Amino acid sequence: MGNRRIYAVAAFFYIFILPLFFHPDIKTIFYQSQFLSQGVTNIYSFLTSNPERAMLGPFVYPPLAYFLLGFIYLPVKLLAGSGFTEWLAMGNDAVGVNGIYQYLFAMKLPLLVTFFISGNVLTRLVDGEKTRRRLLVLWFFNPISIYTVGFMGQIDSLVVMTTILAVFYAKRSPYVASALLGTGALIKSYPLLLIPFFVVLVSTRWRDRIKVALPGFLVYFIGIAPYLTTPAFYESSLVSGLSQRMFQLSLDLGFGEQIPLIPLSLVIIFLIATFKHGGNIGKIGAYFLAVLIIIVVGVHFHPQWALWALPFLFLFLTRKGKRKRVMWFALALYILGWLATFVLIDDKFLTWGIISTFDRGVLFLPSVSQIVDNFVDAEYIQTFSHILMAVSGVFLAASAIFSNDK
Amino acid sequence: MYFWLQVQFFQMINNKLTWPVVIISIILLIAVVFAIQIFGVRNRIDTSVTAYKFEVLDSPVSGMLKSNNNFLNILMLRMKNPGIENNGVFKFELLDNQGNQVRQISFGGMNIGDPGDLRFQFESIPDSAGKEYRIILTPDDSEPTVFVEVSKEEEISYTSYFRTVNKSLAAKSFANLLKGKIVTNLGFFSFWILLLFGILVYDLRKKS
Repeated sequence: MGNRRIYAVAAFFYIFILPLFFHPDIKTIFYQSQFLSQGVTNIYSFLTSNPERAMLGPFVYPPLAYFLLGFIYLPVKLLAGSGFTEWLAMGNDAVGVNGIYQYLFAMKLPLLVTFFISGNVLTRLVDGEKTRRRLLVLWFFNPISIYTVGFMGQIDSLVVMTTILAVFYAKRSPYVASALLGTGALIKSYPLLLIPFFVVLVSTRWRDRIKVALPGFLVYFIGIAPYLTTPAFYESSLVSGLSQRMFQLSLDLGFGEQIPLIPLSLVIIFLIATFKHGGNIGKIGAYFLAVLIIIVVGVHFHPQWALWALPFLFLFLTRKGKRKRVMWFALALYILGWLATFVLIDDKFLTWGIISTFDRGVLFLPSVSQIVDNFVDAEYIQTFSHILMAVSGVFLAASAIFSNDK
Repeated sequence: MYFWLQVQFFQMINNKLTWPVVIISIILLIAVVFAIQIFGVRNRIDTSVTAYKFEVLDSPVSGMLKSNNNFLNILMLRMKNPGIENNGVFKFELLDNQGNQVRQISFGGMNIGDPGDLRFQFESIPDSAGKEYRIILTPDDSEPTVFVEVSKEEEISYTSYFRTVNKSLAAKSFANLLKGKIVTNLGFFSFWILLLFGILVYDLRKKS
């Protein structure tokens, strides 16, 4: 029996949950991207100069996210039916409209397709039918995928697909892989951080490394070049939440001096990649995993950011097989830590809001952190959960880097 | 626990139990969601007016509300205070059809997001069902101007809520709400069910 059963079960499960669960992010980005069909090519300056149209705030993603979602807006609108555009313009609690289920289904469906493509490409990165099945089951049926793709419908699944494709093409065509990372960075910026790690694993010669890095940075630069003179682009997209948060975790040395720990960790990982595994492209998944886990566990993360490292985490774990039960235990702790950390963030749209399509009165319930506060300090639990996630994440990342697996 | 569950899933993914387990899991998920909605939620949606655009709030803006339920107690409005720079004082009023003030709330500009939903919660009105009210939002002369979402008719866009006073009423109200959403979007729900059924049949037939 092949993987068909897994795809069928996953399709059934995700198609069932797609229309029923809601998060405002996908509505916001589709509202902003629909301006492409009205001929708006610079969404950053458009929303600044037309504040009455900025009903859902500024556009905070790099430009390709706008063009990609703006391009699929018309077919999505056709599938979504009447009232879709008006609904997009409504507030975050606009879940009482009758067409909500159809709207959510139409918006999330393209992202689900990319999620399935990612799963399919992942299976091509491992050998053995049993390993492939195991990888697919993990990819489709884990709390992070179910929550971020099925419940929220985050566009991160698009970027994740580009990073998986980059790993797929890493050996076959490093230039294509590099360009894919640059393309991904035009949807969400984080793949840009992966390019230096990718190029040092491609070759031992700096000349080749620079040649491979060029397509990635060039694609990114060409993509953002038209917006470099737009101040709103800097404010809302280029200086993103991630780039600022990466510098917040730091060691205070006194006398106004600080050492930011995430950049420090990334530099250390980069040095290990260069001097221990330089030219060993087989380790690309391990380094992508390490970089992305370090970034996510070291910042005040959005839950969907956990999806970034997931494919490489599962690649590592399935290659390991059942030999290392401690790895599976670490994965369980990582997911538990992730869940408890974001559930206690004081944002109802991450918890009750997800089920608000049935009755938005659920948004008036006290947040989970307020409920927990009645029994025990929620901040304390959240800190402990984040530590749990960080420790297990770093353990998994280190194990991947230093494992003997290719 | 998670590890154990994952191992069990690996083992059952290709046997006869797959579909029953998946369908039971989905039913359990929906049961939990419905239980939260029926037993946890107290303030339920009453009625709403669809937003069309943001309107500058430099003079009083009004809108009509006809409540469908008793115990009307919340109105949600969407406003925008660019850069949260306006810290003036604004007035929210609810008048009956005789023009008498029924409820009034004053609020500061700092309570308005950029943009954000603003919740006006007041003592519930026991006999609100079927009655008409006028909502008036009045700014002071503070700068810079703030915006409020309005309908195509340039009336305040809002969502109103009522307080459910017992669980049987809550269950009934929830069932009616769900029924209304399914009936008005029957085409999509038929397509969705057929799609799910098609996947199930496709897999089972291929297997046999």
